[in-house]
Amino acid sequence: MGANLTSPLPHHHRTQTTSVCNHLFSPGDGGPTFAPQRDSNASSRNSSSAKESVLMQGWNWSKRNIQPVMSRRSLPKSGSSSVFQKQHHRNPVIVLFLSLEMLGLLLPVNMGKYQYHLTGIIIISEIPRPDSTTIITNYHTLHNEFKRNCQINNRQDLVNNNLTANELSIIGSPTHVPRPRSIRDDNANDECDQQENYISEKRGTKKTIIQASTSELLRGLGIFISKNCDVSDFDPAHLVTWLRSVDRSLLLQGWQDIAFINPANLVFIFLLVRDVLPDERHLIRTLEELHAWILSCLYVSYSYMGNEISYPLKPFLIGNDRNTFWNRCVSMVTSHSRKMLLLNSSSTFFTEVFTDLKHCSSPSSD
Amino acid sequence: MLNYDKMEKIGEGTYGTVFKARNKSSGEIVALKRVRLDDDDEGVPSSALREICILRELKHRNVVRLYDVVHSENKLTLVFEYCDQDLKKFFDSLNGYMDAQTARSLMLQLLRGLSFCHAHHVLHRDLKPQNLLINTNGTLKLADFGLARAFGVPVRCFSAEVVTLWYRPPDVLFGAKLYNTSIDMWSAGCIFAGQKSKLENLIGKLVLSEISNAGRPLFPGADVDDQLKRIFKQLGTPTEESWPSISQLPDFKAYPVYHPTLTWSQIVPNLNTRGRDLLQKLLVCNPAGRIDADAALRHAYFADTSDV
Repeated sequence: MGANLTSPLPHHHRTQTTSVCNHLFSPGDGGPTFAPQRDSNASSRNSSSAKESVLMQGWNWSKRNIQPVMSRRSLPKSGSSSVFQKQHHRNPVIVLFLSLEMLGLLLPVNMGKYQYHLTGIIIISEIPRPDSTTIITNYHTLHNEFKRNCQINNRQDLVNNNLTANELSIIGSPTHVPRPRSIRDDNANDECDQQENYISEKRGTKKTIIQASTSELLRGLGIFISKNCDVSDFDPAHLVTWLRSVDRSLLLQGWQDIAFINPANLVFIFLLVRDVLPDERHLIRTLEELHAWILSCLYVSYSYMGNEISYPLKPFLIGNDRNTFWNRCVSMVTSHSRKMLLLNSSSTFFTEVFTDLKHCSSPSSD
Repeated sequence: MLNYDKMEKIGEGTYGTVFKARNKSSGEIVALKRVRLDDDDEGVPSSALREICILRELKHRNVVRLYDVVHSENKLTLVFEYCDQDLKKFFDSLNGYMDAQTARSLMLQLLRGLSFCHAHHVLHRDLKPQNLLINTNGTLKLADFGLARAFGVPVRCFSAEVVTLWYRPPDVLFGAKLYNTSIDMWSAGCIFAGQKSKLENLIGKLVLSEISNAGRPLFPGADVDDQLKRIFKQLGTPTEESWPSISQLPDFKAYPVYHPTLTWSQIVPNLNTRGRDLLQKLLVCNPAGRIDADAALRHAYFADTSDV
């Protein structure tokens, strides 16, 4: 099992938070594996503070793992020292799993000196929750103390904000501290299959943990496609091959140094497939047509969500019908631009789509 | 593109050629950005798709409007609102005179556009004078979202190969892939300072040789190394104290300890005290200490009318 990260960034006090962040993949965590840690958190919660929610545990645990957050912890507490503390009841926290892949079977995430794989995703959320689009203006919210010092200095033009120690120390440029982790096979995800695990009740609302691995979500996507298309010889395993081979070829050709197929991006692909495929199923009759259709979805997903600035077209093309390919892409981006951005800006929406995908992979949905 | 009469070529974007054109039915002048779809390995169309997705969702006075997207004959055409010139050309058109009010208005509009983008979870990642358009009313608009991207829920790390060198922040120069909205704030600071030094130069009040070259940006580095040196020579070399964990950035390398030799009033003599204060808060090496767009908009510089 891999280490894990939470994403409770401090946000601007005027805005709502989203629980997401850029440092989710920071290799600066080297903590123990998720399950034991959660157990220890649970026990400490029981013993020490009944007030602390599971979410706070996640927060604290990330504080131990991520250096900038740790340093922030040492700040004197003020009324607004942790925006997250105030708002964590309302938004899901998303935790992504990383593991050090030794076997090289999967596409590696290259971070610093180590290669990690995103092997799972977990969302700790609260239900029911009003739908809200979360907005962050800038993570670098100025700390109160800092704000007080922000008065304009009329006397000294030499004041240089770069020379003073940065006391605000709010999550800054994420640390890149690769540390070895425990080894975990991506496919051996039984231990994290505690889906929708009822955790606690607080203020009358239930908190839920949803987690899934890449392979599980791939399976879910494959099952969804097989149910929503008329291609009889399609097997969900085809999808895995299609997606993985594009990812691998882009890695090998040097277009990317981080694998694209991970739980978060699968949620994005699923968003497109879920919304568009049912309307276009009558256009897709053969396995090859389905393959081409899926790859145009994938191309849009890479273009929008990929870490790289751009991607080549060739690995995504099946056959020579570029016209159809581009028509599909343009139609997808024009019809779904709102939802694409929403998936990034609203953790609520992300959780919904994610949960939907996860349900596809559960046996009960068969 | 039967609906438009092409008029003249107006430039090259991050990708594709941009034409001025007239809508046949309404007579409206627009800008057409053409992206060829038959170049296989350029990777260009994927950034075009991203720009389309993102710009469709950004409707703001200070962000260039994308009206339409047309796919035809192996070409993708993006139809934008037309703006007369970019910020660079605008400076030249002023014949060396720009009053403090205009400068402040431009900076205010830049920050408003940025604040809007950031609030909507979009990083621009290529701010520079060439990508800021100005129409005849003096309205500034953020343009060229070819490197922009959404950030938020499922997004983690990004490409470090973003932002034109002169406007690239030190953390990204050190290879940081985990950046956020602060990346745009640095660029905004460079543009702010750049427009000022340009202004000062044109007015002829500059006495310093360093910035006496007309219109040169604040940090015109030749390469990454030179860029960092120029920044640190002006701002001081960051340390673990001023920027915790700096040495853990992927491409970190130690630089000599430079101490600033020029004061800000020497660099931007005509910028008032409040303006200099804002500039100093934008140009902070440690991204954690850089002011955000909303806070910058609340800065006293924009409340100051004494020099108007």
